[in-house]
Amino acid sequence: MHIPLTRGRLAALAVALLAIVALILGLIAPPAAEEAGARSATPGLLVSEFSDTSSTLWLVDPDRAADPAARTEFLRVEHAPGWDIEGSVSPTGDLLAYLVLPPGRRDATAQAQLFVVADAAPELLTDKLDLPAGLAWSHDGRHIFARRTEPLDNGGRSFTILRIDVRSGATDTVTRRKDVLGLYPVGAVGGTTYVTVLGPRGSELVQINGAPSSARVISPLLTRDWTLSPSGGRLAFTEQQGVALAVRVIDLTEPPPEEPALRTAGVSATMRGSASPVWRPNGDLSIGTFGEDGSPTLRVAAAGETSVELAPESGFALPVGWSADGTLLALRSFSGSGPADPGQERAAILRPNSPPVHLPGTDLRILGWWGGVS
Amino acid sequence: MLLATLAALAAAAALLLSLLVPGDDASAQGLVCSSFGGGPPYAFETYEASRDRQPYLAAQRLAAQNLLLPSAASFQLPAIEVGPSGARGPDPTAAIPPRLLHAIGWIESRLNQASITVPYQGTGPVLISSSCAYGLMQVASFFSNGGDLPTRAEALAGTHYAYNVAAGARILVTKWNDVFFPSVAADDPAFLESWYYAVWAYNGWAFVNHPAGAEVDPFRSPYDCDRPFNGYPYQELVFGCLRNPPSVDGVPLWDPLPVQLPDLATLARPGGPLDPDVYFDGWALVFETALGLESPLDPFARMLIPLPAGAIAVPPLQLDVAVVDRDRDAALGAPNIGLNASALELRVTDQTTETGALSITNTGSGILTYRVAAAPSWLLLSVPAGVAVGDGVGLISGQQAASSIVLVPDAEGLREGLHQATIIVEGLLPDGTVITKLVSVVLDKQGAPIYRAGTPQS
Repeated sequence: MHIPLTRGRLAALAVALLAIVALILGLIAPPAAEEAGARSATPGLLVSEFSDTSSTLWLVDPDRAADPAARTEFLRVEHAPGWDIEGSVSPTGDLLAYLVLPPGRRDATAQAQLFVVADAAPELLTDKLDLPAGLAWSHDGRHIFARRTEPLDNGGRSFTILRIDVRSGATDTVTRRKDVLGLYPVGAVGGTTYVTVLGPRGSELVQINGAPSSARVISPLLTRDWTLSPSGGRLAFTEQQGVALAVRVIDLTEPPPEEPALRTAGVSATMRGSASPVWRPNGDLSIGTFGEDGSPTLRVAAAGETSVELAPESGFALPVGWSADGTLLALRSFSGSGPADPGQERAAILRPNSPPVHLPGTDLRILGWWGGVS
Repeated sequence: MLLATLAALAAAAALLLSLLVPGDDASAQGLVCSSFGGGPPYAFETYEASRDRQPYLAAQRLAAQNLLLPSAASFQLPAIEVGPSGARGPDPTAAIPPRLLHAIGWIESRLNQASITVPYQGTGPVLISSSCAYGLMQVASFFSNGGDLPTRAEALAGTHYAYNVAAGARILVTKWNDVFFPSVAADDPAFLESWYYAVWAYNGWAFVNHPAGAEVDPFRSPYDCDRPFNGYPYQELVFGCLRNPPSVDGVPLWDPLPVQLPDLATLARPGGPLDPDVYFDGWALVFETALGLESPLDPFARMLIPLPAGAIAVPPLQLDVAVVDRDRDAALGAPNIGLNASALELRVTDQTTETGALSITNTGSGILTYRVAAAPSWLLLSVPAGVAVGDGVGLISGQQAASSIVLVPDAEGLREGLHQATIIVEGLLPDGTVITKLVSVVLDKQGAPIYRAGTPQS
């Protein structure tokens, strides 16, 4: 459809562009000064480059992200053919935890090992974990949560969420379920641990803090990408129905309603075109959005009602994580239009006042921001 | 004396442990096959063919058309049933697209029959997963793992790649024929896309393989056989390797096929056949059946999907008779069994345990599978079944063609004196013939009897 540009439309367009620029600046400007002041070192983005039997972990300098020669090899991990590691940098930015299926093993759901790396050789913490279930950190970076999946005599499976102390390696059971589709670690704030239970008819968030656990239904659908806000007061997640995805946020400080009243973050309740929520250290929420009708978009929304279109001609992007100082956002950038047609995926970094910088290479997986904490 | 006896027993126990568990990592962890039998996995020994995988690909081409072991009851391919749901019937001319078996084998094992510790053109422990799947097709349901002697069919599938391939092909067709699993259009096996659900079921009819499930990445691009498995359902991995075959030393293992995936944007919409709720509804019907309530035979019928746009029928591979004979002979050969002894003597004292060795040779060609057992039970053997390599089968230097079985007497509880045992060795030949050979073993137990607390010593 052709729309003629009148003087009025041009003025409106100019205002809109200014607004967009302002929103971009607002999105990527440093957060509250006291938080920024608490961090000093420059963070680097830790990524994993896959090959069939090993993964090379690279530390990428965000100032030279497009230059492959400028990245530093961080670690090389041998693994069973086909299975990349599942890794995550701690919220404190000084530890990497990763699950790996070692060479010679076959079952990703039962034979993964958990390692943690500070600045020396990786240290094995525990074994016989479920690689696809991934990892979650406690907010204080002291514990990792992972899943153990075991077969049952009746052909079913039991799931156990384990809490692993990163310093001592001590492991204890958070919860065990055998009558569910899936049980996933979410994280922990203070003394409270959160896990998600998926069943055929929806998703439950279970809250465990020593007392009898409490559970609340968070969606009648499958959910994924669960993430706790920095204060621990809110939970963001992606609700999934087929290839339709929508980010939801719930307030954990409120008692659960009898009928869960879900509200959305930055998108309308009917638009199922958002995913991958991540919290900025100042408590803002960023999400990736994409066109439900297949039109290519690249948008990263901040908290509240803002929704910023950055480069509508080049696909869409999903946020993965903010640096600890809240100035850099790691992205999964796609050339396509949405989950039904994602196109080519690349890792990218969104920097202040700049378009996203794509990292060279197509098989890079983002593990998190390393350093950046004084 | 007691200390010396205990030391000898401890040494024997350590030796037993080292000999009776295979080198594969799965067994080293004290694996129990809880989903398939409840016992430990069988400690089979096998042969790993050449790095180029050509022997395996050739065996798969034959198995896909029931030309590998057409007369072996446990390994012949069932007739593939063809036609729309409710009107299916066996079609003796139908076949598995061979490249589908290639791709499944690649995803399952990288087309390796043996443990990672075994060199190409060498022998050693079979590849075993922690879910007790064996060999290059990672066959699991075929094995009882009861902690007992494997059946002859189990011994063959666990030790010989050709039988392992045939067992895998048979399982795939069993999944295809089972109306429990949903259909793709009119279930025409010539379309690779028709095998979508059968391939899913080959890995397990589990939610982790649902393309709109919770453990797959909703933003995954089509799998290309080079990327990590993480975030993909199993059947998409297999189809991805059909589109973009893997290479070994720069040589693609097969020609690419432009196989298409179901259109999730349409089919995974609410109420659509790939909506997870429809899958859950199917399981609800299954559970109703388990509770004794009536349920249809095809609980997942609502998951019927059409052939995707661009699907192309691939006609069955036309194999020349001479090629079939050549490849079949290369895979199976004409093995025969030989032993280095018909009688053996062992001795146990209060300080030493003498072990023995029985060498099994293949005096013919190809790969000989043998099965072995001992009676009574005080004589322990290092493997229940293995292989001996014959003429025409490549072996790298340092690898032995003959198979050596270690014999360890577990003499605790036996009185002093002579004890007799018999080893039964079966050579399992490709035509179904079983050659049985017996080896007598005499154990001379010497020294003081073992003291047991509370047991009178007089």
